[in-house]
Amino acid sequence: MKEVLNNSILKPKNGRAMIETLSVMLLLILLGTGCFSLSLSSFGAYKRLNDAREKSTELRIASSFIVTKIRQNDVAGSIDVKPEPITGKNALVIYEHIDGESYATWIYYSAGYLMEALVLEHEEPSPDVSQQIAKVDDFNIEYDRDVQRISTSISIDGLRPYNSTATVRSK
Amino acid sequence: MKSGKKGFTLIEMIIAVGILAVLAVGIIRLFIASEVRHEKAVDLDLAVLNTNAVIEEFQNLNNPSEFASRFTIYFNDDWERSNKDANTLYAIYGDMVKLSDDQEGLLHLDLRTVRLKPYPFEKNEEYEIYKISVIVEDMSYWGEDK
Repeated sequence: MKEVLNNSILKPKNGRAMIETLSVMLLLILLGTGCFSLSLSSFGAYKRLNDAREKSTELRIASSFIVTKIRQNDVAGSIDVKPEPITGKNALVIYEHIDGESYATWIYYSAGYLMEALVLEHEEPSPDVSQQIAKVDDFNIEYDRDVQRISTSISIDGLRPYNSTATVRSK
Repeated sequence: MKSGKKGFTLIEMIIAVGILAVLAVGIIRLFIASEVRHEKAVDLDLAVLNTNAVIEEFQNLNNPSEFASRFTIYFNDDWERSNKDANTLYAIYGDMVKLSDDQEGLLHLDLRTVRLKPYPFEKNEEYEIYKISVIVEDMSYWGEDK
């Protein structure tokens, strides 16, 4: 016991024992590591949450844009789903007459974006004349003509796809 | 704690680490709550889309009143329709009633979308995500010409 008390590590030196200095240093390292890992993991968690929120916002925008377009243009013969000329994937096509001229609005998927192009009816849409609606990874649209129902599926990697249906009322 | 010497004392360090631990727990709880809220927001989006799909289906039925007045549609965790099994996570409870005699040809449809398993760190077994009441036309009454 006497030996232990005489041990320099427990013996006060300049009013402070070595064991106290070591404990403080250890806790200082623990505090530093804790602060660093806390800020690192907080940053990672915030970034992941923010990315997920942005992605679901894009999906929400794309999904409601399609349904709103179908509802707004539900006039006999105005809405169709057909392959888009560049990629061959199905696109939503809305026909309208403006000042005696026939136009077609193409809503299609191209290079990671849901795009919209307003072109003359006989013209084909291209990314140059289109505007980006939402950043998505895939867009599928089907038209069941028997029940006049348009089904869309929009997805972004890592999130559940947003599937929606809209019935065309006009005949 | 000034002792006339530079540096930290043990007690100061213990207090600092304690404060950090409390902060860390608070931040972790905040992120979990944020994650759950995000999941609830996505579930609300998908619940609205799927409930609207059910309403569309009823509006297209020739004779919706033939269906059971109460029905349940189950979905798995990807919001795909499924039979009730271990993977079932969501359900739409439907309740359909005919309106009074002076409102013939119309049906009242109540839809309630629920999550059947609790969200992380929550206790309620069945969480109501979305609820809607709509009036649908009974096409067997109205027919094509009416």
